[in-house]
Amino acid sequence: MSDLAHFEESMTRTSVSNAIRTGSNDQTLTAISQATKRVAHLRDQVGFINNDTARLHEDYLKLLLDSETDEKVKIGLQGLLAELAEDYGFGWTDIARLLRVSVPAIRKWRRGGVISPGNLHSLAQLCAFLKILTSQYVADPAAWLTTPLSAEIDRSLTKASIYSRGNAIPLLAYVDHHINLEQLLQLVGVAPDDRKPTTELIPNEDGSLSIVPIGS
Amino acid sequence: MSDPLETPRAIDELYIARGIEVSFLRPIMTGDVFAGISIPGVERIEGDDELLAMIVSHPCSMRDGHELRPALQALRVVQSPAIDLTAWKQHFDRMPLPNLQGRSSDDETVDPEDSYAALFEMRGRVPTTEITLDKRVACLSEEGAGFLHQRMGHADTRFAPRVADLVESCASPFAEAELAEEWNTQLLIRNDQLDPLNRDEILLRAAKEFDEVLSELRRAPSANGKKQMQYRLRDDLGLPKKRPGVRREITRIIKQRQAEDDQKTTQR
Repeated sequence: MSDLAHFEESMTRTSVSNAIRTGSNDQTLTAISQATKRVAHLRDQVGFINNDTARLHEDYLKLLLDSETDEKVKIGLQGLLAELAEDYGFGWTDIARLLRVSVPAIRKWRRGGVISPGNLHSLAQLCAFLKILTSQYVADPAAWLTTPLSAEIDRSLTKASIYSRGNAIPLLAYVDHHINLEQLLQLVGVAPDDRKPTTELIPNEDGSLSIVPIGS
Repeated sequence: MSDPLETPRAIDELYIARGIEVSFLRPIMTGDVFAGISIPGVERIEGDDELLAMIVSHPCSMRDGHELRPALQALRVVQSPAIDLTAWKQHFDRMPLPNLQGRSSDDETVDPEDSYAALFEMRGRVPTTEITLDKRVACLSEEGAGFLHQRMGHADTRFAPRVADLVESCASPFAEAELAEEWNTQLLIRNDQLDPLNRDEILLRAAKEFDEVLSELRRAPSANGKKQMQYRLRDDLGLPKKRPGVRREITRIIKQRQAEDDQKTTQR
């Protein structure tokens, strides 16, 4: 609890306690009524402060991501692709999905083909995002991104799919434990009906996977 | 009621490579299209002038070890009127293949001259000896194979699993194919090791070596350090959480082999 909230709470409790100990029923009710209003006001203030700090935090996360991205751009196309594939262990298909480009586009870039400034920025931003994840103690950022969010959420909804829709900042707030899974899903606009898993993958004896509707 | 059949966001989502983009270094996979293929039991029909065929055997069951099985299932691919992405749901009997050979550089619209479809009724088993890398004209992406499996399953059973589930269920063999292509690219192309006259033999040998790396029994200490855990890279490739680690390990092995090759070259 913040110092301000602590102070307000102790003052309120004291005034109510005094009224109960020394006054009539009317005085007690008045004191409780006033205290309720003050606490409500305090709650509003805390809410505003919370919203303001959340926005400020998001602004700083964005600033951090942008600054790291500017640094990553300097590595150049081949350096960025090597970092993603060799250091992090992403497949070319994974990278294409994360950037919402085609696999042939990635293959063309690997062979030295021209990349647009916008796509180079997206590639650098992905590397910057992964660097920040690593600084948040995510041991294997590629695994973190490409695995399902939780057993209760549809498997196709991975952090990678959330990232690919332009939601790097909410994911950074999530990995930092400043928002929970429910808040993350709300922020990125996943409706409750779209979250429920409808199928599961069951391994067969030969190692292949069968798709089974849940509840069957 | 929602429609059971999904449609791609864009044409280029369907393919990994088309036309000149197709590399012989990629192993043969589900969704590959080959020219000049006769399919036993499938009669000639209008639009099959190029005798195109798409491999539709499931990626989990098209190989024994590193070698293709003696015959693979294939669909006849014919020239077909252009089907807009929004109209895919009305054509249950086929897998539309817009801009299949990449003749136009523009994927915003369907090129009528390059519009094909794989017909689910026209299916048969083709001897693997007929399926050669020189004849390959296109490779479907993982998503493309997902759409293919959804539509083909729906044509047979009127049940359509989600494309996302189909893609995930095939993620491991597709990741293996991508790594095998990387293996071939990094180890065969450099130092001119790929003699065109013995290309298929060299590729088969490389496939065997790659398979041995994936199948090798490895040991690692358990989390508490008290036991030795046994694992294979191929098993880890099947686990999304461990897949990036397998790619990093394959990259390390490739670099090690490149260094060994360079050393041998220097000593000569």
